[in-house]
Amino acid sequence: MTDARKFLQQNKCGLASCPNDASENTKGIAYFTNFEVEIMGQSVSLLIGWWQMDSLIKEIDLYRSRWITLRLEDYDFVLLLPSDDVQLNDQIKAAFERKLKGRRGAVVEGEVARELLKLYELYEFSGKVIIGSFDQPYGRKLRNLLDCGIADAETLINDVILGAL
Amino acid sequence: MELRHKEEMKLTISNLLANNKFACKNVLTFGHCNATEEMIDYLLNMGVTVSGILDNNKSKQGSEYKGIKIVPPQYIEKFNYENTSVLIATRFFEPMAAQLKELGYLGEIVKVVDYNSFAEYSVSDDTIKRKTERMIRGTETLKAIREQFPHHHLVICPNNALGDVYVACSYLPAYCDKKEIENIAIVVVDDGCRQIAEMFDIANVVTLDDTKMDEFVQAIIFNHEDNCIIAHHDRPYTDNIIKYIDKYFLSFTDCYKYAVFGLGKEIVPVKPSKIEQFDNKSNLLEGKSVIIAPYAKSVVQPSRSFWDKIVKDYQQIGFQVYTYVFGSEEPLVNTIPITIPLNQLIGAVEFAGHFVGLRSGLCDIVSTANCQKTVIMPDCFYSTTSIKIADFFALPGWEQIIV
Repeated sequence: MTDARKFLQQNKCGLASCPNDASENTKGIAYFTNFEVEIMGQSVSLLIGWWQMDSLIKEIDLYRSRWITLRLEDYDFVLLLPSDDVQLNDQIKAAFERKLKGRRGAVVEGEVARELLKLYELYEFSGKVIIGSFDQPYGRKLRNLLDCGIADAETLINDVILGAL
Repeated sequence: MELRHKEEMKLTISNLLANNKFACKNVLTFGHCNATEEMIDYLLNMGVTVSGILDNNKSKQGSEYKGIKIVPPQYIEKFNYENTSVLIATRFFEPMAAQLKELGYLGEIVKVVDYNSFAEYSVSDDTIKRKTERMIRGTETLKAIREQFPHHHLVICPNNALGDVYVACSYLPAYCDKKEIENIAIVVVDDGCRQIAEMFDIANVVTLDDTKMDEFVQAIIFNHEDNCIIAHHDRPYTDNIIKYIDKYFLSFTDCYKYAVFGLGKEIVPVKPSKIEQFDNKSNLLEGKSVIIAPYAKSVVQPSRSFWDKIVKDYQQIGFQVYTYVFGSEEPLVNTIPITIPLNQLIGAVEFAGHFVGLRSGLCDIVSTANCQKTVIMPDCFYSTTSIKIADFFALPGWEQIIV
């Protein structure tokens, strides 16, 4: 089923294709031909597509504005801490500050960090961004090395997460 | 370098030549790898002089390729930027370009091949729009795959690399057991990778082209798609396991075992179970033939004379010598070209008796074959690490020649 059809069905738009044997049970109901339904479906699809794209662009624009208004491009490294794990964040932050060695670093936490992370999940928009997490951005698998006993948290923080410093 | 990338590289350079962009200019390249060597070969053929190969890897600095020295990126400071072009043919274009700018270089930097659609160091309107559209296209692909496999665990092999798909598939049963996954669908790039998945008796295989795969992977990341895994240790940009490999070392297979799938030390990879019998349409002599596989996408190629000697040595002891070729690949001089379906390759090399291969995914495919196997390992480093190819891609039990 196409998106448009799902949308029409979910929103009870009252479209139905004309049955081959219209009986008296269908009296009084306006039917459309399959062709008309298809055309309307495609139009709705286009509208949904435009609406989705428009709202997505606005959402992403908000994330981008964080990067610009905070003037994060001016730093050598930008550490995003999207997790609420205070202990882990503190550990990463301390290591980050230790490793900066005179270079300019910014730390972004909480909701703003999560918004910038979302932009980073759209594409790698800067080489200065460091994500302070074992599992984020989505798809990161550093926790596997912890779970199978190959590496400890300190090693992963110092040499992988902050490996660029 | 894949054929499509080679064509792209030639087109970019031809356009630069046509626009007289190299006239009176110092031309440098950044990043010493197989693709850079191929680009240099092409530039030299077109009469362009290359003044140096910039590379961050200290262990490469000081050596040379075709008389062109490998030097640290700071070497760029010797040149007047108005008369200089830096050509980049690696997937690290964005960080390399950023590094040159950090060094104060204001001259021309050319992306010769667009290897990495995941990175673009810009937040301009145009970039945001293109990347959003790209992700939406990926979401459409994801929807289509999900319509076909609504509840399957999607295993995504993002690279067109036979060896990666082979090793990923060899650990899939253990991964599925661990995660209690009943049904999987594997998503791969191109037909060769599909054949590998089928050798492991995976019934649900979706094949995408490179562009669609990149879009699809980006959509997975952006949409936080559940019930799936991107089965690679180094791609896309969200993982950074290569930093761990560089410092503490994990072999190629261990990358999959530990970093990708999070499996225990006791786990052993499974062998492919759907192997076809070798049909010997090429009339190989049993036990008196050698199949040579001299091509690899990602490692530096040995010289022609190296291969000529191997061919001669085998012929002198009465062997029939075959070159395994695919597509437009040329056979080695005085050898017979042979193309064998991947699911018959194990049978073929066992029948032939000998296999000699430049380290590539084909070596992984025949790794379980019972015959004389020799691997040619280029004496160079894996990706951005300081780990030798021979160590990272080691094949225990094989005779090894390092060139």
